[in-house]
Amino acid sequence: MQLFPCPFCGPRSESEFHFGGDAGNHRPEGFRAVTDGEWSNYLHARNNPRGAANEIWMHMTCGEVFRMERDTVHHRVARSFAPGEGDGHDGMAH
Amino acid sequence: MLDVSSKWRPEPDWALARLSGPGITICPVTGLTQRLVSGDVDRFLARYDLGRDVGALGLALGERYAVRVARDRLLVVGVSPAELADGWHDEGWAVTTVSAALRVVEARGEGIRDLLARGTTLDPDDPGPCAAMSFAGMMATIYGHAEAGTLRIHVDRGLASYLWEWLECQPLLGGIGEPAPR
Ligand SMILES: [Zn+2]
Repeated sequence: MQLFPCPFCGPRSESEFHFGGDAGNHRPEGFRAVTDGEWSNYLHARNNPRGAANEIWMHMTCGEVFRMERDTVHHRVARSFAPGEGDGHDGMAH
Repeated sequence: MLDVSSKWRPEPDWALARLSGPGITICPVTGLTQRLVSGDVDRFLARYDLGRDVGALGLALGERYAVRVARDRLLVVGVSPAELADGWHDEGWAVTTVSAALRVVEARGEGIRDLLARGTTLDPDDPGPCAAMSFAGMMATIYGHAEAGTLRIHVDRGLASYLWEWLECQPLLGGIGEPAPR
C-alpha cells in the first residue's frame, strides 16, 4: 500500500484516491474554433512520463480534487497542492 | 429460472441487531437527525454554537455535534429541521437532511482499535482532521462518541446490510469468516 497526501485529510491509502489525468490538460475553449487535432490531443494524448509526474487526483472520501507531484519510477510523492495553492499553479482550470 | 434473491440476505432487524466479542459490542443507533452542511463551515459552527468540528476518530460529545467530512462540509447530528431549514442560507451554507440516507452503528470496548485496524488503513495515532474514510471498502464517517472507547460509523443506508455482514464475519466478533445465520 502507498500513502498519498490529501491536502485536507493528510496521508491516506492510495485506494481512497482516483486518478484525474495530467495537470494542466484543460478542455480547449472556443467551441467551433477548436480543431480536431486540439480536441484529439485533449482527449487522448497523455504525458506518461518516466520520472517526475504532475497529475490531478481526487480523494474520493472527502471529494477534494488536487494537483500532486510524484515520481513514476520510485513512487515518491514530492507534494500535493490544495485548490488555489501554489501561486495559482494548482493545475486546474478556474 | 435464475433466482437472484438468494444472492442477498434480508437486512437485519435494526431494533434488535447486536454483535459482541471479547472486548467489543456493536449495535445500531437509530433515530439520529443527520444533516449535511456545505459552505462556510467555521461560520456555521459559531452560528449554531457547535464548538469545534470532530475529525477522524475525534470525540463528539452529547446529542448535538458536527463532524468534518470534507474541507467545506460537515455532517451535523442533532440539529433539527425546525431550527435549521434545508436549502441555501445567505449566511454562506447549504443544508441537506440525510437522516434516512445514512445508517449508524456504534462499537464499544477496548476492541475498537482492532476493529479500526481491520477496517481502515488510518494511523490511529495520527488520524487527521477529516472523519470521512474508507472502512471495509466503503465510504464511511467514523469518530468517537461520548467517551473514549465508543466509535460511531455512518454508512450509506444501502450498504448497511453489507457492513453488518462484514462485521459478523470478523474473528474479533466471534465470526469465522462467514456471516451468522439469520
Ligand atoms: Zn481528503
